[in-house]
Amino acid sequence: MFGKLSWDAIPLDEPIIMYTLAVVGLIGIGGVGAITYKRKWTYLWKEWFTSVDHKRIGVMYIVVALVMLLRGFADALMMRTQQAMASDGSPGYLPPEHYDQIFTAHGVIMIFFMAMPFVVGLMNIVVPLQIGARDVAYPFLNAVSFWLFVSGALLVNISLGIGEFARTGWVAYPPLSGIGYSPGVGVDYYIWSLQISGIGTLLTGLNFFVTVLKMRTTGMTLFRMPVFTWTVLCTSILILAAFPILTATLFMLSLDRYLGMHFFTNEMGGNPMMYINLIWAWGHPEVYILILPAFGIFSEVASTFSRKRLFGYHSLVWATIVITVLSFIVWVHHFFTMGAGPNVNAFFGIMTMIIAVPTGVKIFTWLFTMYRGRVRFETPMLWTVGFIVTFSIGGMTGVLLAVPGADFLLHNSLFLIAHFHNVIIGGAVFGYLCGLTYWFPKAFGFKLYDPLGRAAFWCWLAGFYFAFMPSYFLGFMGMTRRLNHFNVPEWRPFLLLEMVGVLIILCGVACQVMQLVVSIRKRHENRDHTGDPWDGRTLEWATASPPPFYNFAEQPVVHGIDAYWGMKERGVKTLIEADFRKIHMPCNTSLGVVIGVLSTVLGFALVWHIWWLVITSLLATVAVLVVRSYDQHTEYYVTAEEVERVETERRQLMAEARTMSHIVLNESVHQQEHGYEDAGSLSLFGFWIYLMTDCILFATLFATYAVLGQAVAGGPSAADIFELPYVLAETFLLLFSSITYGYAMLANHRKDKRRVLQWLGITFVLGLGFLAMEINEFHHLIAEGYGPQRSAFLTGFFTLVGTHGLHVLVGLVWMALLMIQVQQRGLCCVNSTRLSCLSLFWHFLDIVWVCVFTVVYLFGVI
Amino acid sequence: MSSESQVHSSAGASQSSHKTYNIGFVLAALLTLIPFALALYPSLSRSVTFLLILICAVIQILVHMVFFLHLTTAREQRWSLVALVFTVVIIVLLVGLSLWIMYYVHYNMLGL
Repeated sequence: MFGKLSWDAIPLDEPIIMYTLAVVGLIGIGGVGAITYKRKWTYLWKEWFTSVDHKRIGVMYIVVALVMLLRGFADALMMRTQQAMASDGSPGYLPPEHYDQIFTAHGVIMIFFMAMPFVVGLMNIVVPLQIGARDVAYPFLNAVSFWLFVSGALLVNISLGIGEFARTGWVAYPPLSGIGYSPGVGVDYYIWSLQISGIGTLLTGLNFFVTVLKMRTTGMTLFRMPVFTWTVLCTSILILAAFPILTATLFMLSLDRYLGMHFFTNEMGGNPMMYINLIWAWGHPEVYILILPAFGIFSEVASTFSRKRLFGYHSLVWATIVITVLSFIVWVHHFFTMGAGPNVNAFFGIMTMIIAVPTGVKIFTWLFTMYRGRVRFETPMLWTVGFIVTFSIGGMTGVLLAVPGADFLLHNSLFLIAHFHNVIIGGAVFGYLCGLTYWFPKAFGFKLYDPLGRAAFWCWLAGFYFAFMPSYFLGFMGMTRRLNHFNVPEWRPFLLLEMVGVLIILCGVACQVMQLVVSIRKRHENRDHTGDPWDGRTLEWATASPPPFYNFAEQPVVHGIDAYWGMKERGVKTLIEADFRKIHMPCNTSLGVVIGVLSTVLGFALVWHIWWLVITSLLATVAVLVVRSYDQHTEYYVTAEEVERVETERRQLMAEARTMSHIVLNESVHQQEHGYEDAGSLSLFGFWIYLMTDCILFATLFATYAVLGQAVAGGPSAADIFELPYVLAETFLLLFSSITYGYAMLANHRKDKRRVLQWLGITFVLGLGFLAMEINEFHHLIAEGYGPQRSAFLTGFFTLVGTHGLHVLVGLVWMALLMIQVQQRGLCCVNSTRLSCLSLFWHFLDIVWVCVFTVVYLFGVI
Repeated sequence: MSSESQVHSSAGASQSSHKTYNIGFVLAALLTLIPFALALYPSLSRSVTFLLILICAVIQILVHMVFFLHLTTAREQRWSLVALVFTVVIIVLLVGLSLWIMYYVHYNMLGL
């Protein structure tokens, strides 16, 4: 009934965990109690949980990120304390199996559940405002992304109390993460929390890619976009290209664990080194996904607080683009020692050094922006200067590690740990905290309390140097990472010093918590009615703080880089009341939350092998999507009177705040509003981008198949089991279905409903025939004893062909639903768009099949 | 409906007709039959067969893209095309470099 789940799963015998749970429980009950007492549940539900407003979603992302920062930081404190205690033969206070979970959880949380949501939150709040849009391209999808991410974060936290977390390190190398060496549920929690939140991240990448490309306001050409928007565009591209690799890799790892396959095992020809290769093919771009938006934030801040245009805007943008591409050809530097040899290592070592060049260009860009500027050292500027110094050091140690010879000495040592904390804390985290201070008044309408912000910065900066600089020395002294206890007295002073550093950072974190509390209390003193507290240059400062839910009463028109600065220089006057127009906006929906809950249940059930629950929650998720597809009231109009009321109110507040320069945009022309009118082509473009990510997912499977294809482990080879005439028949079924779908599209063009249904029906039957033939083939192979567990080759074959088959199945289910909808509602605009999307999907499957029969069947047989 | 034309131009269906689909189908069928014949009735050397099959597959993928997906270089499809080219580049890098790495790992482990 409950799979592997029993009362033993709750670690009652571990006092540290039980105390933690008790404290968390008390805080939780306190929070729930406070909300109930203040009767805020309805408000939270209506205004926040069901919101599709990008600003609200962004704020929720950052709230969760900050909570997870506390959790991840608590892990760091525990590890540092353990290492400070457990040096001279003492075992410390954390037993190895618990310590291993802590360092794994620390890495996973900090990367996936702190840094990612933090940066996605900032993207959400800022990007639509910076490009003068009303919302992101797909507001509902945005809510789904957020709740999927929350679902993943929940799973990680559930693992603390029910079961265990992985003990494998944050990238979970097999064979350690395989079922043989990690029989518990820890790795399963790891896999499913990352898969679920990873899908959320992928959807975010898709959303922002399309938003930046298609939703920009009039006049905002690509090379007039603020640099932060540019970096978000590049980060989205990286997400779209890299996250499918992670999804595919973890998918294969889970097949090894759940179905006894042999992708990455040590038996039957499996190859654990392929996992290491693939996880870093995702992992290195991931680093740039985190750092590029931070670069964008520093660019905005440096320019604003130096009161100058950014020095070398174009070179900065091009440097970002170059990094985006180069980040895909450096990944071997994470495993120089694996044994790919001098040729491979030399190539990747050199590429790694080359990627430092555009990064260096950026450092100089910020320095020259400050040079001869009138620099105001407000808190965001402090973070920027702290970053430039700290990140440069981290970058240089990175170039040192890029030398394969040096890496052989320093691989897995604390030198490496010092390096990547140096760039991630000194780069990404400083950037996000800088962005938080900078954009907080935009999101909430009041500034953060400054003295505590400055104190937090100095604590973080000083604490960082104490906490990680000694690690460089420890690395040279031979200390490796992830040590639970050791017996080397010389390391001790350094570790104590690091302990001090962590405590200083703790002071910084405490300052930040206090800063939030004090700021909220003193919000009336720090209120900003102008919407432009820092004398900003980009469009987000052109609207109120917090912005009205529709962002701009009138979408602004852009004439150059630093659009808002230009408007201020030209002295723009107030808008005339008569100009207000109704605005098209998306409706709130509770389905995002529902999908989040269902995916949490799904993940939990998968972890504990509760199969009936897996199936139920999967079906429920499909049902929710079907319900959504029937919902015709997803958008509404804000009346012109409502807009006028909001804007008049704001104007009064501004007039009270400062009389001299109240700038409200009127440089806008009445234009076709972006976003909702041409929803059809927008959906189609988004779906096309989704297909691109699916291509990369398949490419990952193909690469793995190519590596494992010869590993028959004494079993049959491709030539022994494949029957080409049978495959030819399958191929023609798919080919025929492609042309019949094409005919359905032509009938749709003529608005001939009957023909559309006819051709769709034929396509459906052909697709079903293909699927039946494939299942029959699988059945025969398994009956003969050649199942996917037989050898790595068969594992690869079944997974690759099966994944294609699964896509066909999804296509068929979709087609059936679509036929019903066409029957019920005819070829309305929405159904027409859906037909086009499915058409892309169906032809795409045909293309994948061409690759499959070529690579798997034909190359296998000749 | 104003959006109709845009929807179709993105999918490209506006320029297409039965003829386009039929030509595409015939070409795809030929490009399927040739490699299967080459594999079923081996008459050429293995490497030549391999190369011919590969060429057929690449051409067939292009045929699908032109005749079924109606990809063109038209302005409204520019970003779709850019995304596709970028994806192909990434796939070539990912698969090519992975195989290169794994080949050398394998080679070095044999102790040669």
